[in-house]
Amino acid sequence: MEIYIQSAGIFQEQDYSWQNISNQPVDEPQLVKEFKHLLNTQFYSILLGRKKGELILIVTGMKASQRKDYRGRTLRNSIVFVAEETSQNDKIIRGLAVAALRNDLEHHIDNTIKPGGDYGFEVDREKIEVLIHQFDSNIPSSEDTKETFHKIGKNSEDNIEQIANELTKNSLPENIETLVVVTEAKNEDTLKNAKVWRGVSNLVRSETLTRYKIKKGGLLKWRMILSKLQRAINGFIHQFIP
Amino acid sequence: MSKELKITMLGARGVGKTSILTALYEQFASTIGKVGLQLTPDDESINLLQARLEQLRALVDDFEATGGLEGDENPQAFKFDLGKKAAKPSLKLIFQDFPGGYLNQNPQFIKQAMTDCIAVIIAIDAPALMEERSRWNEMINKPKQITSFFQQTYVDLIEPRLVIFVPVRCEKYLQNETDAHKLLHKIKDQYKELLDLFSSENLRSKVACVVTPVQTVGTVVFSRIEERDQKPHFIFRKTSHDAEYKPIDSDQPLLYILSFILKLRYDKIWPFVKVIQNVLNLDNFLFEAASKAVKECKSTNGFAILQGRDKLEISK
Repeated sequence: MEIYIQSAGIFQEQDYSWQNISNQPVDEPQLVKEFKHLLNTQFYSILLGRKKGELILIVTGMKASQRKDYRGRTLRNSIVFVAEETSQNDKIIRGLAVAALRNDLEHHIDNTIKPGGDYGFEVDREKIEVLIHQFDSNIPSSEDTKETFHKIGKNSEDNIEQIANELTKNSLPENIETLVVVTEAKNEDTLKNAKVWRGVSNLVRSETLTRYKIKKGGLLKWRMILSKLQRAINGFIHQFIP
Repeated sequence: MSKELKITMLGARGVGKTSILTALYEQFASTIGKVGLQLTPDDESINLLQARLEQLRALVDDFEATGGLEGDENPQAFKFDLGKKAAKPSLKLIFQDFPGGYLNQNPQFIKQAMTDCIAVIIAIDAPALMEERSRWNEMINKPKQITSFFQQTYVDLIEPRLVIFVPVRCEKYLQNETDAHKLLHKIKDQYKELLDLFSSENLRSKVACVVTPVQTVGTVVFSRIEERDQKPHFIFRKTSHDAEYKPIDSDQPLLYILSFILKLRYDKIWPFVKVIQNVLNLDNFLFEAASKAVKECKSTNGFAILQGRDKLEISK
């Protein structure tokens, strides 16, 4: 699993930047570039998605409890998990996503980052690696998701808890790229155009999670077949290479 | 579809780019409301600006303050519709904000924004400029780096441009005419290289340049600098215990942008320029109302037109 952290340091020249958990500077991860238009990253936001056989979980806007910049402004942390799509990783990523949805992740992430280094923050690799498996035990053996309807609603505690419950009970639905979006202020069309499976935003009119129709084109049909094939191959390989 | 005009913010991390935009949104509506216009942010912008406004208001919760608006990790475009009240908007103004760290991390993004935008707002942290003989100015405001961006992007300019220097957190330096004069003098001194570039033969006739100090909170003044690890930490205090958030002159940058647009229309000397064609086709109501609004443009007590007066005033 690849893990990347974005944060900043106290000094003016230590603005927000990305590092891997070996504290090496990296460019913005490609999957973040592809999905971040769905998030208002300065607010607490969550995105769970998949692309080309990989799952991605992005959590942004987590406030650092102690660290501030040279202006005395509170700093924020973002974290990204990228994992090959296997049933094991499906469970791990769902565990982390549920923790993020229930706001259990923020202080854990905060505890893994301390000031220091050339870029103003350093990640405790061991703590992060422990964290990865801390939440998957909360995920029982899951049933396949039956509800493949796409739903969006207002960014409310009730709607977020409903999504957390679904992710706890069921594996991730197949053939959907943008699985979960929790964002502050993206409008309905933005979420619908991205064909979000479960999305909440303050700019969605419906108070509850409400079904919407998506257009399925021929391309999507082929993508579904390819995705199924890819998952089958991954499963086969993992039988022999744990 | 309404016409679009783009404006970019420019400044290093923490100097106040987003604070200017937030205070502008707070104050400008009332200024143009008097002449029958309205400025309406789109749904996303209004949510983000409201959240920032709450942060700015919270700055006056503590008597002694160090903070400001939280920094951003990503660029953000704030979109406003401008037009007659209760009518379809005539003009869309898009303000491009970005993390100050982009000056080093993503200079290409900034160069592109400067190329695309009709106006650039340079945010300047006034205490760094004014205190301790400008000792911290290069470190905080980075005038050399800012100048370098203009040197690289304002090459063979065809279209006219407006550059607005906006000193912020300048409550202390606008108490009287003498102090305001000192602020203006410091800008001319510390940004001399940039001003020389604007007054060079190729840019003199194309770039208008103004200074519009903005008091982004209005009731929080600079108190002192505490030096830690050879870095400055700026401390501010409220003017009184019961002082509230009250920005002053935050509408001025946008009034000057309107003034610039109006003059372009009257001049009609740039007929082949795409940006200007956008402006020439705007409705008459907007222009008439804006003509009244821009009479509020200030040009004394720290405010000044440094260059290109002929591109800003619509009638004498």
